[in-house]
Amino acid sequence: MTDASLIVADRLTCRFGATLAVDQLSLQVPPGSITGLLGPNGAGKTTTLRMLLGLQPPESGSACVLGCPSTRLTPAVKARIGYVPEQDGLYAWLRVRSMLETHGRFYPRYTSAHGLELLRRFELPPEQLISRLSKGMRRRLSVVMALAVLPDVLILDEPAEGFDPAARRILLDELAAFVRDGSRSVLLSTHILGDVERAADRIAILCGSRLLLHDELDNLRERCKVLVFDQPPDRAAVAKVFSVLSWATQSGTTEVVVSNFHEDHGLPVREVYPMNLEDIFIHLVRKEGAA
Amino acid sequence: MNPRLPLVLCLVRVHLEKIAWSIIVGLLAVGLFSVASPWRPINVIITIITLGLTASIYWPHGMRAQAEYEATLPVGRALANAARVLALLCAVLLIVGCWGGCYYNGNLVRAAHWLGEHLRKPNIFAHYYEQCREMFELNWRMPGYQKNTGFAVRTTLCLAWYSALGLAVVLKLTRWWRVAAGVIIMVVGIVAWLWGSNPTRPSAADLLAYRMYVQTIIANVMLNAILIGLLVFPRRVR
Repeated sequence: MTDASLIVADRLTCRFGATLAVDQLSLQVPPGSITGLLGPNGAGKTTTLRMLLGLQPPESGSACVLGCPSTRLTPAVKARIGYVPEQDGLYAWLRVRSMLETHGRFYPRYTSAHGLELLRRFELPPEQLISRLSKGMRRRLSVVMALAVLPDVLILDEPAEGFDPAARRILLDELAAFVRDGSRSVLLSTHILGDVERAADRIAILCGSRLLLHDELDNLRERCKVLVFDQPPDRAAVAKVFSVLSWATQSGTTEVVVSNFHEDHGLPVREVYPMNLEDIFIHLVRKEGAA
Repeated sequence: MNPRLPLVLCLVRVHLEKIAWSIIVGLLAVGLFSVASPWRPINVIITIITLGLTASIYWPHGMRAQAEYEATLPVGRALANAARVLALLCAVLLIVGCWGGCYYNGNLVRAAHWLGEHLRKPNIFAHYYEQCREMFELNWRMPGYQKNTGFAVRTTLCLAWYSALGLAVVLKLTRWWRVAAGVIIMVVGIVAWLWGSNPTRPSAADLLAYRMYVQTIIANVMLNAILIGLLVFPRRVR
């Protein structure tokens, strides 16, 4: 574990009745990083985030945010955390500006000027009633509220759900600016893998309530490749060298997706293709599902 | 003073805004039914239904998400929950307070009378019971008590005042001149209350009656001060 990590989870486990929601999850989010938390539906992403914030007590294991145990987050530590929950808890009877001001009052670093500037950047009408906002606009407001309090840690659960492409671009720019000075970090749970690929530098993939992998995005890209063979290779020989995620033969060529690519393999590979995050994610999750 | 108290009050104000309409509806319902039937079981039932409606409007919708949002605020979950409960208590206080205030000389006295009869002397209610019994008898001796227009005027103005305050909460009329307007309404409301609640002009010897009017005024001033405080104070925290 890295002492300097702003978020540390150590063998977190959570169970809802007979269902194991999160199983022995260990994770660190160092300062200056954006960590993308990925996983299929029901993998335990939201439960993990809620445990980190002390909203869901773990069955076992522990977590710390900004050095404070999640189960006993002090108001001072909470004031340094920005959180966008999966379901926003906005007061529908307030106006946008009023909601932001009410929220900001709880956070010592909040200033109205910064809040209003964020409203402008996210193109939110300050005098609009929240009950009349669209789903996407409500999400924008949740994001603005999290950013406006100038936190040290941002925990975002599907923040861009319902965002149009322009708003997503604004969000990604804001996140990049947020971690630029290297002292703050973001934990971002989302299904929009294109966004994660653009913004995140670290990836954690949850599948079947377990942490499938946790690595830097560049490492992941280096490790996961598509190997193209002109002749179908010997499966056992490939499996001896690589960890194979999938195998497909089409029009005389064979494509093998591997998750631990290295150069000194000694196999008759014609070409090696890089993979985007979405392909990597799908192959990894499929393999895990098949296992 | 606990530095987090203003923040809790801020949450109370936010929650009061949500239930403001149900408070207004509750006040009107209680007022109307009380005018129609000063002391009958239906009155109590309507009050209970109104309070139940207030609670039901307040709690279920978005409750979980909002409670979770509040749990992440830097005041602590316990204080956030306390704010919710406090807001609900304020709503109950408003409705019951109005009900009791409107009918201080009527239903509340009768209720206290009933309570006193059932609990018997000597008990903690004994003194109050005696007061109320005297007031009750005094009231019934007053000519025109049962058919007085002032009674209706008082009720209407009182309800109008509380409705205006409720509206102010809803519309967030927190600028100083709006608050000043609210204070003027309050003064007018209290004067009207006095005028309306005292149509028969009991003689100066009826000190007990005056004492009860004074108590009524004090209770109302306090109630209004709480409301205005909730309106203004949390916004001046920063």
